[in-house]
Amino acid sequence: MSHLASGFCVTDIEALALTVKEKCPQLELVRQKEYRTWTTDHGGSLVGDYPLPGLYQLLMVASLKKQGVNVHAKAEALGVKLPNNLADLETKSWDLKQQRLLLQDETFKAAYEKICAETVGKDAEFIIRYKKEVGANHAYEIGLIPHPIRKGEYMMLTDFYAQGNGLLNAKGVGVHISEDNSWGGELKQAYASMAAERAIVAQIKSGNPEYGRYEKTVLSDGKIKIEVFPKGS
Amino acid sequence: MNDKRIVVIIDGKGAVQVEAHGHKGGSCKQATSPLVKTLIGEKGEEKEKPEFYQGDFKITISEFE
Repeated sequence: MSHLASGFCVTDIEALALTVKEKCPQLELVRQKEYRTWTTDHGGSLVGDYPLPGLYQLLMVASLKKQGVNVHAKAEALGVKLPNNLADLETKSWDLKQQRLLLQDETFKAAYEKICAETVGKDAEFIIRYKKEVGANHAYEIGLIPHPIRKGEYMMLTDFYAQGNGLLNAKGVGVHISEDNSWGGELKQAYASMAAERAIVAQIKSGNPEYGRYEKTVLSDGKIKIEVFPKGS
Repeated sequence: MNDKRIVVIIDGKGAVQVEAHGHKGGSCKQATSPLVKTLIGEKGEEKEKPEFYQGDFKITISEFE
């Protein structure tokens, strides 16, 4: 092995729509800006028992910085060291303890409340929701949020409180696991597999010599392995 | 024998690893680029393994070792 890259993101909405259609018969993917979360039902406020997702942390401090607030100094005075490059908040987010320290300050608190009321749940381009005929009227929804910096990438967000009020119990999605805070494992794995196959087929069709044929296998631990062989091998 | 291949591993939580096997130098990044862009995007953590730094002459030597 000479090179290894790891992570997860959504770039192929068509692959996600196909995955939802194939694997999640109770759900549908539609183009819509608003996706239901706890904030939708509670006047735009979050419970505050989890830190804001990294994307929103970044947007929150960026809005303060635009207003001329020295966010680094202000946070440091509260005992929280923000990364030098605020964009790193997306992957190196503050934790709940640090968030509680930050929210003792009125400026941070106001910015937090503003982002919860005006942005969270209102910034999607596509959403995944129960089909109307299922009758899951109180279930939350999954939002596909366009990344503010990286064009073509979407963040997949949902409110996993009470398994997203039942959303994460839908067939083919995958429940929230509190040990590692993961959710939607089945859907994410199926999407990644579908997106990988579509990307491989596109490369084969375009004549890329590194992409001649591929084999897909499900390993005994549930992982999916896709091997791509060069042309002529 | 040509054992070049790209391996994609997707775990049960959707975390993706894309590995290039049998490539030398920068060709591994070129080979995996379409899959990395699709599955991991720009923020993916990337690591270069020792083979990345091998020049062509070293490939020839290592093939006979």
